[in-house]
Amino acid sequence: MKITFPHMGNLYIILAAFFENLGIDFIVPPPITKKTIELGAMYSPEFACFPLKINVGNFIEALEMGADTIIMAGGIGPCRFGYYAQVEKEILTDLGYKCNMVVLEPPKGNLKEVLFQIYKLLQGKDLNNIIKAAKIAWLKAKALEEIEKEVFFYRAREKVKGMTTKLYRKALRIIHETKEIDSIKSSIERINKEFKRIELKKDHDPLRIGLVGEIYTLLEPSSNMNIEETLGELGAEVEKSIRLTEWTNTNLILDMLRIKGELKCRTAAKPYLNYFVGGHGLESVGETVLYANSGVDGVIHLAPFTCMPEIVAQSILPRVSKEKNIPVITMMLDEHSAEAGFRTRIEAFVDLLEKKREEKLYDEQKLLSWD
Amino acid sequence: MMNRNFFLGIDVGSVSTNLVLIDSHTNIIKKIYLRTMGKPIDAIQNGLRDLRKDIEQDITIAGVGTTGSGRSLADTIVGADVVKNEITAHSIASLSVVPDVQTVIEIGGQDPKIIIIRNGIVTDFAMNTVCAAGTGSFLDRQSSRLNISIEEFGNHALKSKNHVRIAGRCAVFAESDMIHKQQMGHRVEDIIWGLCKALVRNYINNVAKGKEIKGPIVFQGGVAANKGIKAAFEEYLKCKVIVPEHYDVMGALGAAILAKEKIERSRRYRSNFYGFDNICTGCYNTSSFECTGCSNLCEVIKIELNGEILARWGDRCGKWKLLNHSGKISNM
Amino acid sequence: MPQTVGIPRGLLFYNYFPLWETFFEELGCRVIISEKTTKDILNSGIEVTVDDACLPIKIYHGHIRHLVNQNVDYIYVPRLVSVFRKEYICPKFSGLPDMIKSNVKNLPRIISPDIDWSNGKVKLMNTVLSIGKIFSRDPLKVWLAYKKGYRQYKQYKSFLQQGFSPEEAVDIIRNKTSANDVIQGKQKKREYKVLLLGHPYNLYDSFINMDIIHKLKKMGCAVLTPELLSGEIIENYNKTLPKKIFWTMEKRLVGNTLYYLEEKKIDGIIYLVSFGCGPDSLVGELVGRWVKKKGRIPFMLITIDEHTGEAGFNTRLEAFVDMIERCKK
Repeated sequence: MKITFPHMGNLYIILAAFFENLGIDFIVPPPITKKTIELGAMYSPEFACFPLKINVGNFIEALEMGADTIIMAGGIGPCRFGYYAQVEKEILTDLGYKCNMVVLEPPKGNLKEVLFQIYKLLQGKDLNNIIKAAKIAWLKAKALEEIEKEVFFYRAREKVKGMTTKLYRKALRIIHETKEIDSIKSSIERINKEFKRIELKKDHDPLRIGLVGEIYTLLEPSSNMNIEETLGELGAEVEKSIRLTEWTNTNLILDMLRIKGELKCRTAAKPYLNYFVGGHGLESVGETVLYANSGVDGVIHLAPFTCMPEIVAQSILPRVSKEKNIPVITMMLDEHSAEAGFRTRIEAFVDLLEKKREEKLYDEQKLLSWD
Repeated sequence: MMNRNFFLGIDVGSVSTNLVLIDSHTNIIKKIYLRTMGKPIDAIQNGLRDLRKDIEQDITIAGVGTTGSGRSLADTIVGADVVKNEITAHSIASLSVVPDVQTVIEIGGQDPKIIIIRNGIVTDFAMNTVCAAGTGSFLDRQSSRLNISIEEFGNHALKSKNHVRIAGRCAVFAESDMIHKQQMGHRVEDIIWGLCKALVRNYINNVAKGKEIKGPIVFQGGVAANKGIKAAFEEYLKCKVIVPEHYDVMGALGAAILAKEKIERSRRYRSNFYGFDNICTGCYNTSSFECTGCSNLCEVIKIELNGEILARWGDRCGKWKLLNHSGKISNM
Repeated sequence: MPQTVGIPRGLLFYNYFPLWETFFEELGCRVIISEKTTKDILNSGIEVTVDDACLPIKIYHGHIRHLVNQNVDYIYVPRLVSVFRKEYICPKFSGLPDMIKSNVKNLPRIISPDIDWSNGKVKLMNTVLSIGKIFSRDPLKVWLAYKKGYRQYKQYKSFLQQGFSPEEAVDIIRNKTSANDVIQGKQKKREYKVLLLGHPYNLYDSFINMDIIHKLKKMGCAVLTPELLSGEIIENYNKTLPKKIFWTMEKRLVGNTLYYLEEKKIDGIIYLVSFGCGPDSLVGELVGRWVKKKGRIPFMLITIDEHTGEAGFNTRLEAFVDMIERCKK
């Protein structure tokens, strides 16, 4: 048995650590490239969501590399994600691939079923071993999150463009390749020291831009035209509400923290959207409100083309934008999105936020000078 | 004539390349409108040659701004002080002509835009990147198909007495519907007027959806010359639409103004401009190759000036990119 | 002056409208239903909705705006999250009242009860009473109004299952005509049987679907709609799937497909999809693949949106019927 899994941002680092420590044979899905997207778009339904298309392309690549078992998350609706695995299986089977699809249904569905599935996968593994593997995976997940925060900070302020990104890539490689708990900790320290050596611009007070939207488009740079890098290099500091560990929490581990976070978000969304609409639609609205309250300059809302929960959010966000006085722009992404147009809109949005900020400063000065 | 400071704006779009020269009072000294014809570098060189003709020799270019989809390329060739996206450039130009403007409609060769301005600040914008119906390229095509010069196109629309509805979100469908209406025997001017109205409807539904369109409205971009489209906008929006004198080069004008602002803000700054002679006599060579470093297979574009590498781009990982114009490859 | 309650003629109107109308009428309200979909209604809906919304949602907004112009006191926009355990309608239905409030100006009061039975039929009585409270202080009266509405709805469903169109079914219930008269008019030998899959609001709104049912009949096809099968058959066939389909409407379409493929009772399948419909984008694909594998009968997926041209639509229908003809020979 050679297992593989969906490629979503840095998820591969976490899952690879887990399987490796269990001694399970696995294949790291290759990074998402133009070829992946082309493959996926070719074999997927035309109006399926972009993440499904990327999945299909990526699974084909991994199966070609010798994988025979795919681990996929399930779901109970109402968003399409819950039925991805079944459609993907059908497509792959019709293409002639013989593969086994293991679908992990979320705890809300049926916890017994999840445990049974995992048990089947891990058959014959010693419990101590499982705990150790989970611990290392978790440690790496946390490390990745810390590094991401550093990256957002330094990228917006770096003197020489591209330095932070270069270091970020190196850090990912180091974390992916480090095996032992102690050495992971020391690598993180080393990486942090290197970050501190990045030269910063003087008196640059970066714009703060919040990213909200559907999780896959938020976490997978190849699906969002590297928006974090683009914004950072335009001198803006990115803030991201949805992170990988949270996703792992909701989908694989029951965690009370997440529930708390959700409640805060739900309360914030309430005047505008008062019901769960599947996916991350409610979060997109709630997080935008929270960002506005915390003084973020603007919000970029990312979603795959035709994503149902995000269409609900997109319909409601203009009202939030108006009442909370925070600029919001929605970017719908799929395989047809053109980089030039995307970039122009992002740059113009950053300009708009800068002008708005100048205006605010000017008004404050006027107030102070008794004009 | 004393030596004055001038500022240059260059807008390299997919369809046209425009240059504008302004003085320090934002007066337009000269403007050039050229077709890009898929050769942006030639267009920039020819544009600069035309610009210099019949202008006294001792003009100093104190600042250069580039905009449009080819803004980075233009920057590489001429050495810009400001490289700005076309949405910002268009809004700056509009504000310089109509200071209290609240809505800018910009329809050029491609990618129609709407910019919402309140109290002189851009508060919202949208740009259509999905479809070419209603853009200059589409109108050019239709006028040549109907055998009417594009200049006459608008006048024909104004002659129409009957309403013909042209359907279609997409240029291809709109065209087939037009052909269908012709086959049914409708008059050409009615079809053209119907087309103008369809394009305006399309623009309002696709580009300007959900935006609060308030006057004063400035209509710019190449299509603003088309009286039929202007009339259709006025009919739909039930208010006057202003077409500025230099409607066709507003992007370049905005870039020039942005360059001027930047230079005036930072007193001791010297422009990056490479100089007319260097640019116009330079022998540029562009080529591309497929990087096989990973399965992204990026198309890397290379520009050489007189045999030396000037810049490379198109690679997602930044391996080939030059970080500055130093001519040295950084070790990224 | 009785209070007026506006009901938009869109989305699940075609499923539940006798229930809603009777309920409000029994409580002494005057019910105003927006007129049948027109070009104007469609355009006014398009004006206020985001591009990416699907056609039925755009049209629903148009109906809402139409009712706003009629100055009704209330508009009924239920939040239909789920009407079956562990099933959903679709995310857009869950956010519908909020979308309406964000997109439409000058709204009157909106009645939008949350109907979410994904964890079983909880609080049905509470929901009914909370709506009724607006118009009556007497809970018994409210409950009886609901009961009467529900009886009408049951009758309506049974007529749909016998193959009557929603309009015919309503006329029969209201005693405007008798079932026999309608059947008399229907006695016509049709050559081919076509299963027409799609959501009720697409199948029964003849403006959206360019009158597809009528056109197919004129081409000599008997049209079978998804409402003809009992819930039991639908459930049984869905049980053969590796994973339950959690969208109520798609579950019905899948059940229909599997049943007719098994029974070999039809000559062709047409699946009518709204552009941008999420669940159908996946289920339509699955159905297409199953028909190819098991059925070997003509299958066509038609995507409709506000830009669909009638000429092209008709061409495809004709070609499809020709295909059936050639297959049968």
